[in-house]
This record gives sequence, C-alpha cells and structure tokens, in this order.
Amino acid sequence: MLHYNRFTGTLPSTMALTMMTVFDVSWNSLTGTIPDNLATSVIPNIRHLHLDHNRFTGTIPQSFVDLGKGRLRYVHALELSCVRR
Amino acid sequence: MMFSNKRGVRLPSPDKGQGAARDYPEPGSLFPQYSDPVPDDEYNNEGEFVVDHINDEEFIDFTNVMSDGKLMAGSAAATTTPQFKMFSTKKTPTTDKTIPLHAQTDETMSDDGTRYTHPSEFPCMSPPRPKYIYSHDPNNQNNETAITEEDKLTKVWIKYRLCILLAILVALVLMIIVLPISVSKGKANSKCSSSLNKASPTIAPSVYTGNAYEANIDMFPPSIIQAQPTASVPIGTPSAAPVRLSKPTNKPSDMGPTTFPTSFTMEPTSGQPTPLPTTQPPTVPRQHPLVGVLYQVTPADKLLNPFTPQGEALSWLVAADKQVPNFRAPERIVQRYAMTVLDVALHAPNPRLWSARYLHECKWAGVTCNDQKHVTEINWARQELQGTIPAELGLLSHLEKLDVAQNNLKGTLDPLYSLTKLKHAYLFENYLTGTLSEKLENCRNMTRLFIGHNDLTGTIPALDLRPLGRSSATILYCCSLLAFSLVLTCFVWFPFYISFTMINRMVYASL
Repeated sequence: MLHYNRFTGTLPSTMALTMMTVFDVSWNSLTGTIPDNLATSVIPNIRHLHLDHNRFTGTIPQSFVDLGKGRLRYVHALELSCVRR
Repeated sequence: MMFSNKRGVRLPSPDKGQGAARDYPEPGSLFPQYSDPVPDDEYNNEGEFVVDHINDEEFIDFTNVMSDGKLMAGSAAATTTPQFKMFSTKKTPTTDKTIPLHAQTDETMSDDGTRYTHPSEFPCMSPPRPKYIYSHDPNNQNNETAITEEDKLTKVWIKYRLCILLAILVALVLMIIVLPISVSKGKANSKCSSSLNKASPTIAPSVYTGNAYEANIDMFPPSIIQAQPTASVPIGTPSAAPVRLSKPTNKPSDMGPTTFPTSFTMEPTSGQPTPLPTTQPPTVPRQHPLVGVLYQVTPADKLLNPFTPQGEALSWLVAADKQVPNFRAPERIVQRYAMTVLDVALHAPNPRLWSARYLHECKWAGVTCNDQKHVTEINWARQELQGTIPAELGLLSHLEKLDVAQNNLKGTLDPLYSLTKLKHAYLFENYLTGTLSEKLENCRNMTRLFIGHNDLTGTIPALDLRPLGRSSATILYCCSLLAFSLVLTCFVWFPFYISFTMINRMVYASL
C-alpha cells in the first residue's frame, strides 16, 4: 500500500513480494512501463492490485490476462496512463 | 587406554630387573629360548629369583616392551604400548605373537590349535596374573629387530591416528565457528545491517546509523560502549572521556553533568515542541546505571539533553519511574526506555496516556505483550498523535504489529527497518517523509505495509521479501558444511579407523 505518495521512477521488475496480497501504488508519479513479470514473479499471490493514477506508458502486459483467471479479485487500473498531479 | 598401563599389570622395577640379569640362569639352561627377567613377585626379599614351578606349556608375556627391546618400568610405561605376548614353547618356541591391546580378540588360536584365553576378556581390568612373566630375550637378535620394527609401526600408526583425530577435531571446531560467522555474514550482507549496533549484541540493535553512532563511539571510551550485560555502573570511567574531547565535533562537552543544560540550544528543526511545562528539567548524572545501559542504544547528545524526548524519558525514568528499579536485564530496561520515549515523543501534546505511564508498559493502552513481557503490538491509530517517530521505536525488537495510522506523525520510515519481527505496519495517513529504503528487506516477516497517504518520495526499491529470500544461500552453505562434516566423519574417518586397526592386526599377526 504505497498509494497517495510521491514515488517516482519505475516499478522494478526484480522486486519479489511473494507474500503480498494487496499491492497499491496508486496516486503516485510512477513512470515507465508496467513490467511483464509483475503478475508472475513480482506479486504472484496478488489479490488486490491498484495501479491507477500514475504515469505508466505502454501496454498492459499479457500476464495480467492470466491473473484474471487466478485469485485476483480486484484490479483498479483506471486512468492507467493518465497524467495526474 | 593405549598409552597407560592397565591396572593390575605388574611391572618389574628396573633395579630388580638388573639384579635378575645377574642372578638369572644362563640363557637356554632353564628355558631353552627365553632368559628374561621376571617381575618382582618372583623375587624374595634378597633379590634372588625364586623358581617354584615351571610350566613349559605356555608363557604369557604381559610386560611392556620398549622400542629397543629392553624392559621398561615405572613412569616410562606411559610412553609405550602394552602388549600381550603368547608363546608356545612346545611347538614353535621362537615365534611369538604380539597383538596390540586394542586389537585383541577374546580368544586366540595358537599354531597347534591350543585355545588361549586372553586376559582382556576379564572385565574387571585386573586379569589373573600369569604364572610366569617373561620379556624378550635380549640376546635373540631376530626377535629384537622384529620388536623394533613392530614398535616403530605402532608408533607410526598411533601418530597417524592422532593426526586424523586432530584433523577431525579441528574440522568440527571450524564448523562450530564457521557456522555463526557465516550466518552473521549472511545477515551482514543484507543491506539493512548497517543500522545494527555491533558493539552491543546482547542488547537490542541500535537504530542509529552513520555519524551519530560513530560520534557515540568517539565520545565515550570503549569500556562504556562495550560495557556488557547487566546494568553496569560506569563509575570512574568518564575520567577517560576527556581524551577525545578535543575533537571538533558539535557534541556537548563532557565537562560534567551539571553543565549540560547550559551547553545546549533548543533545536526547533527537530520538530519537537517544548515537551514539559517545567522550566528546568532535572539533569541525570552520567554515573547513573541507567545511563550506562542506555549509552549503548542512544547517542549521548540526545540522551543527556533533557529537552529531547530521549533525555526527558531518561530523567523521568530516573526520577519518577517505579518500574525500572525492578528491572535487572538490560533488555527490559531498554524496552521500558523505548516505550517511554515513544510516549513522550508522540503523546506529549495530548497527554491522555501519561497517567498510565507509571504502569508496566504492557498495561498501557493499546499495547500488547507476549508471555515474556515483550511488546508485540502497538495499536495507537487515530489517537491524534503528533511529533516525530523516534528512532527508539527500533529498539522494540519483538514488535510484530505497529498501527499508528491516521495520526499526525512526522519523520521517516527508518525506525521500521530494524524491527525484524514486524509483520503488519500501518502508517498510512500521516506526514511521513523520506524514501522507502531497501533496508525494508530486513523485515523478513513483513506482509502488510500500509504507508499510503504520506509524503514519501523517491523510487520504489527492488524489494526482495520472499521468505528466506537472499539468506537461503547462507543456509544452504551451512547445511552443506554440516553434511560435509558428517560425510567426512562417517564415510572417511570411520573406515580409515577400521582399516587402521585391521592393518595393525594383520601386521602384528604376520610378525
């Protein structure tokens, strides 16, 4: 739950938060693309994912499709590429 | 056992042995092959050899033989290997079988099939004394050379065995030493360990990093910093402090405790409001036992400054607290101090909990302890807390849940990084600043980190919070070392030992 801060930079793809079930980085200033392995290796047990209100660019990775088949319950990716703040 | 005589083995004294060499009959006259000295039991008081009866069937040599073939006795017996010798004068009187003590079987078949009962089968360590005890014939050259060779072999084997045993011992000791070192190395490799106080391992790790801690080291002699476990009173030790006073640090001078308040200026940048309505807070003498303990966890400039939460907490603990005098373990004192600092720093503008401060900290509102009276939970959400999160929060090493959400707290996340048992951290909706550091990997049990709605900046680090993430390599290394030592012991040393004994037996059987 890192939302509503002023974190910048990208989401590191080497992050390993295997125990995390909630990942909320909304309302920050994150840039770059969403890493492809976000749903597979970074947060494999994720159930709530909040990526909204950042400055992400690019496309939603393919692994998110597989996330939808799993235990994921909630994805808040509205305004995913919008520039806020 | 190999190097000491068995109890009950009678050794002839040297002087009587020499006397026996004179009085003894000529070689070959009485016994065709053996003209050895006999033990002292066979002498009368005049030193004359008494021959009562002679059984030429068998002679069991039960003496100690030195490497040069001579008889030995007395204290020198400890350096040789006791040996049993069996003779059969009937059939093959020149061949004797020398078998080392440890390789004996209970019964030995001679060449003619006669069954000799071996003395080692008597469990009482005192085998029945044989009728006649003989040593080797000093005139028999062949026998002498054989004895020297086998004794050399014995010594070589003994040395070899000793070396192997020593190597195994050294390997085991190394394992015991290497294991904690590697574990600590693994911890040191993790990026959070710079905040650990290496000078006081028995106490909760200090939360101070960098210059503050080094300044603490510089200010005080090592006898205070490394003063160990109990509440040691550093009486007399401050006299060594002024040696380093000439350092151009901005620390308070060590002129004496009475001059402390004058040498300080209020620091509005610390974010601390004036804590107490009292005009002149009490000063704490540096020789107080609590100060000796708390030197190791808090920089002295903060601890002895009565205007900081640390100094205020210390003065309150010294002056008014009724719990601390009952505490003996530094761990308890440090926990009491840390909770007091938290209370002072966060509840100061809103002293609703101050009345409860006299209680044990486990009975404070919102505080939960385990059975060992260690604080495990702090639930102070929506308590209108204000102030900066003190670094002493990191001293609560058993903390598992910290809930200070929805308050007005300032400060950084640094105190969290030394809470290795922390599982749930609720810090959202505060005014925290700073960055999220990779030191968070030190909190390996962290499953919930709520730090939203703050003023945190910087980038999100590449955290690796997998269970046993990076330390798995260290654990694997230790396990492999243990397995290697086990394999070395079971599959290398033990067969070697067995083969040594077998070779010994074979060598001595062939001689």
